[in-house]
Amino acid sequence: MSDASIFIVEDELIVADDIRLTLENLGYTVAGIAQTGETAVRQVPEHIPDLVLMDIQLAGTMDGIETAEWIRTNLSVPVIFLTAHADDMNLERAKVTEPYGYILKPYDERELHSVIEMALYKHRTEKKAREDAWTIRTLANAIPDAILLLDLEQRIIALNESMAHRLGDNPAALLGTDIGSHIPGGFPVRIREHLEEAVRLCRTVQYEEKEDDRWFEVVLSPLPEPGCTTSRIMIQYHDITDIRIIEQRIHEQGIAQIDRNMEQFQILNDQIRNPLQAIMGYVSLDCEESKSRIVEQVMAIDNLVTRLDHGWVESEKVRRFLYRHYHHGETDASDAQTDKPREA
Amino acid sequence: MPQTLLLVDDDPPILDTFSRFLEKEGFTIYTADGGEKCISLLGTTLPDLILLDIMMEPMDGWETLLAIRDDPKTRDIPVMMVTAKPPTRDEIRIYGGEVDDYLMKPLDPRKISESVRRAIDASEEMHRTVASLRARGVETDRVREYVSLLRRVRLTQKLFGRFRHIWNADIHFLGQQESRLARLNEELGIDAPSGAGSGDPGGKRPV
Repeated sequence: MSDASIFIVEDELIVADDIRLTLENLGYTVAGIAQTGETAVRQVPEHIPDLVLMDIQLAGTMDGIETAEWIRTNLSVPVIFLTAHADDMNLERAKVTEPYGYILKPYDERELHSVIEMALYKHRTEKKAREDAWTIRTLANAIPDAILLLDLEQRIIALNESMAHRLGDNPAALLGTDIGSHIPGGFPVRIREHLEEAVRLCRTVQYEEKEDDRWFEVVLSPLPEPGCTTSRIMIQYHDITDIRIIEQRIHEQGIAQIDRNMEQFQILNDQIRNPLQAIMGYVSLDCEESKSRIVEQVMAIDNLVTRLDHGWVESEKVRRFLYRHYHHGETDASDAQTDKPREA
Repeated sequence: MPQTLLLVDDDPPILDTFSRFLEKEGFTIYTADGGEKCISLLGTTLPDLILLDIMMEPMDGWETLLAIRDDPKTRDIPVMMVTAKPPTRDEIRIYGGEVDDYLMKPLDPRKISESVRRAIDASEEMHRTVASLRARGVETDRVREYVSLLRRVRLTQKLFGRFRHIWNADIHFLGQQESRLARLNEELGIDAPSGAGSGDPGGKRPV
């Protein structure tokens, strides 16, 4: 049994009171009673009941149908019409207000109960569906990626604002239309081929694409039904330009440093072997003068090894730079173990 | 008349020690501390062989080598590269055809004279072959191809075992050149075994 609150709009006080007792008997709370449409329009927004029972025939300037229409437009409260006789013309008018049910007077208590419960259930379900749709839309729009759902005829079934922006129109105007009609030159053959591949293999297809000066990762995901028949495909455009720029910078700086290091290695290679060559020469000469020359050459080699230490320091900078970008602040585990260069 | 050598190296102790040993062996020695000095010396002196360092500033050994080969007066002088740096494949491809021998530092200076004499002999023999090819009216381009290929094969044969790790162990690199030289030898009617391997200290060629 529900404890929903119900507002009654009925111009005949005796009938209204009878309904109130019946509703209370059924366990409902009566949020209020209004005798005219004008009063209802003032009081219903104050109470925000779970449901309004509305007599179609009302004294005053607004009848029940007008009042129900006002409630439908301004509040999310379901309305059930009460009417003394099935007046076809009024029922036609009443339909426009999307009522949650009709009850003919004199009403039957059980009928009243089931119509109210049905209306409350229907309203809850609809509200839930509306909220779910809102949540999904909000989530979809919160994602910076442009997302689109297509059917197999390439008609737009759903899309987020980011995708609508890409296609240059508002989401509502794009729904149901052919995607090709929004792209200059039509739907690109390349994407069409990827799409067909995704559907044929029933598998996500992913590729990168450059558009003006931005890079995108494009993901085409078939959304299969059981048994793998695809009727919808999700297209997702993920902007990877910033990642590309960082990668490019790492690439360029890393390569530049490696180039410098390699050049240094070549120079050092030559410069170390030269004193070794000189030592070999002086040793072979085997005279007193040669000995001091040998010492000079050994010192020259020692100076070169000091320069190797500088090369170590430069390489260390590159390694730190790469670590910062690839491991997001993680410190290099080898830091603690690595031998520091000798003091120069 | 003693043979003259031109030593080109930017490292004074190397010029010093090499000169002393080679003078003892009876050579007349000229020295240059760089590529520019080498070229200017060649304006007044034509040595029997040039020992050329590679890593020099600003004019390096390769640049100097090309300048020597560009001048008709110095074009035929044998050049021996003496360097600490192993040649890359590209360097062999680009310069290999101009180089008569390649010595790696550090080396025992007492053995340089032996290498020098062998290189001079090999070069003289090559130029005799060249002269006979010209006399037989072989086109200049074919003669050039022969000289270049012969030098490259000698160089790769000598260095291959030591530097195959740098050349990505590309056996074809050597094989292709050897078979091209063999074809050319046959075509031009040259006695093949006299050419290859003459720069190798362990080579079988009698000195």
